[in-house]
Parts: sequence; structure tokens; C-alpha cells
Amino acid sequence: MSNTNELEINNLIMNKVKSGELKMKPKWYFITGSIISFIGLIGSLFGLIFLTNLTMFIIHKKGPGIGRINSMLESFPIWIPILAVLFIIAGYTLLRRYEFSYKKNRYIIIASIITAILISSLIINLLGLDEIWFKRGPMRNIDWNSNVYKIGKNNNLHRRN
Amino acid sequence: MDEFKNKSDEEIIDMVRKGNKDLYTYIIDRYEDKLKRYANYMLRDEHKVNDVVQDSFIKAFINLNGFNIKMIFSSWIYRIVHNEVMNIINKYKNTTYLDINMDYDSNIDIEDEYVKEKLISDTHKCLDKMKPMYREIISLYYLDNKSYEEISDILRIPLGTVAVRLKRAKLIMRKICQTQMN
Repeated sequence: MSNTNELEINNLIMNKVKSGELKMKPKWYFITGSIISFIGLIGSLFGLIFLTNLTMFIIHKKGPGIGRINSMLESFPIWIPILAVLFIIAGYTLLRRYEFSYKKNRYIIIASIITAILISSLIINLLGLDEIWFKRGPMRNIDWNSNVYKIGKNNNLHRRN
Repeated sequence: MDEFKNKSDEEIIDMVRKGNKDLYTYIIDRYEDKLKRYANYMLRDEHKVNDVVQDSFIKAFINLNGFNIKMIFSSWIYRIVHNEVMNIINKYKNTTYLDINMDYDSNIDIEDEYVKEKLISDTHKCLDKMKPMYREIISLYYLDNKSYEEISDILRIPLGTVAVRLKRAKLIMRKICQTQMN
């Protein structure tokens, strides 16, 4: 590379800087971006926990059994695992934006996220929080119009006979 | 202005961000040759190299407030050049690279210093035939003398991956060089 080229690049850029043609993006731009990414990441995690818990709740209420496979498949909300996978992809994409993520093994990060989600969902399930959610919380508006479930008089979930 | 020559990159960047924009010229002076050399290993086209380096300095300046002053500026600017280079490589994807099927026999203990000297002398002839991902890591480690940590920061890959990729690159490089000599 010639010295002329070096001078050209340096002069060209510095002229643009001095003339104001090149301007730095303000700090708030990056701070806002980081906050939005972080909120997105947390939102994805909460969404995943909620959907996983919902799946557990349905399976728990429905119960396993060979004879029930058809009815389970009929009413199983396929959109939940699809959404969950989409959330994982979105979460991972967001995670890659963070400086630290590439320093760790990505498989460990993904495994940790999945484990944390499963444990959180299980705890919610064991504490019976999902029952409360079903009655009064975020699940109350879900349409359970399947041939498997019905809502009892006291708002409890029952299997149809 | 000589007082600034002894300042670290990060100190100068901090001053540029605080309004002393003229000092950005020191950053360009310090990195222009290094970045051109790095981009040249990857692109082998002087015009494209100049464009990439110029665009990288411009992008770095525009996004200077996004740089974390606690990090190493060198890795940050190399990362920008890496992204620019990859954009160009992806744009001209039709180039074919030598893809040698080989077994990665890890029992072979390579003498690092010998390999280093040998590689530097043969690198320029063999680099062009390697895939960009291997060419890049060889360039950074052997030609730009970057540490594993710095390469990890530039390529955004874990340290373990740096080691594995470098080991593969060395084996591929050796194979290509041997084929070339024969």
C-alpha cells in the first residue's frame, strides 16, 4: 500500500469528520438499543416459561394413557411448541448480541436456558400457580373448546366423560 | 500533539467521544496499515481492501459511542473489518476453495515454533486456496500475532473454538502447501 493511499484515507475521513458530514450516533441510541434487546430477551424467557407451563398444565390435567393418545393429539396445542421453538431462536439471536455470549459455550447457554425454563415451569406447576392463572390469571381467556375439557360450575377444569 | 502518541487507544477514543474529534486521526494512523494487511490476506484486491478499511473507519467513528471503553479497541475495530470483509466475500461467493478431505489425526504433535516460521514463509502462497474461515484465523494468529483471546473477541467465537479451528487450519494449510510443493 502506498503512502499516498494512507494519506488519502486519513485526509478523506478527517475532512468528513471536521466538516460534520460524519457524525457519531448519540449515546442514548445505544442505551435504548440495549434496553430494548434486554426487555426482548426477558420477554422471550417469560413467554417460554408461560407456554411450557401451559403445556405441563394440559398434560397434567389430561394425564397420560395409551387410550387417550388420539384425544391428546386432537386437543394438544401444537402452536405452543412451535412458538416455544421460535422464542428459543429469537432469544438466542438476542443473546448473541451481548458481548459475553460468545465467550461461553453456546450449547451450555441453550441447555441452561431450557433447564431454567423447565424448572421454573415445574415449580409453577407444583405450587399450583397455574391453577390460579387458569381461574383468574393470564390463562383465563383461553378457549378450551375441545372434546376433552369442560369448565365446571366452580370454574374448575374437568375431563369430559 | 505529540503528547497523544503515548496515550492508549481507549484513552484517545474517550477524548474523541468527549468532543476532541481531531484525535481520531491518531487512531487511523495506528490501525490503517494493520487493517489493510489483514483485509488484504482475506481479499487480495487493493481496491476492495482500501474500500473496506475506509468504510470500517467511518463505521467505527459513527458507532464510537457504542464502544465499551473497558474493552480492547483493537479487537473492536478488527471485528468491524471482519464484518466488512465477510460481506464482500459473501457477495462474491462463487470463488472456489481447495477442500481437502483429511483425517484430523490429533496424535501428531506439531512443533509450534517450527510451524510458525514455516507458515510465515509459505503463507502467502497457500492462503488464497483456503476457505475464508481458516484463512482468517491463520492470518490473525500468525501474521497479525493476535492472541487466542483477541481472536475470540474479533471472530466472536469461544476460546475452545479458536483452538480447534486454528488446529484444523494448520493441518489444512500444511496439506495445501505440501500439495503445492509436489
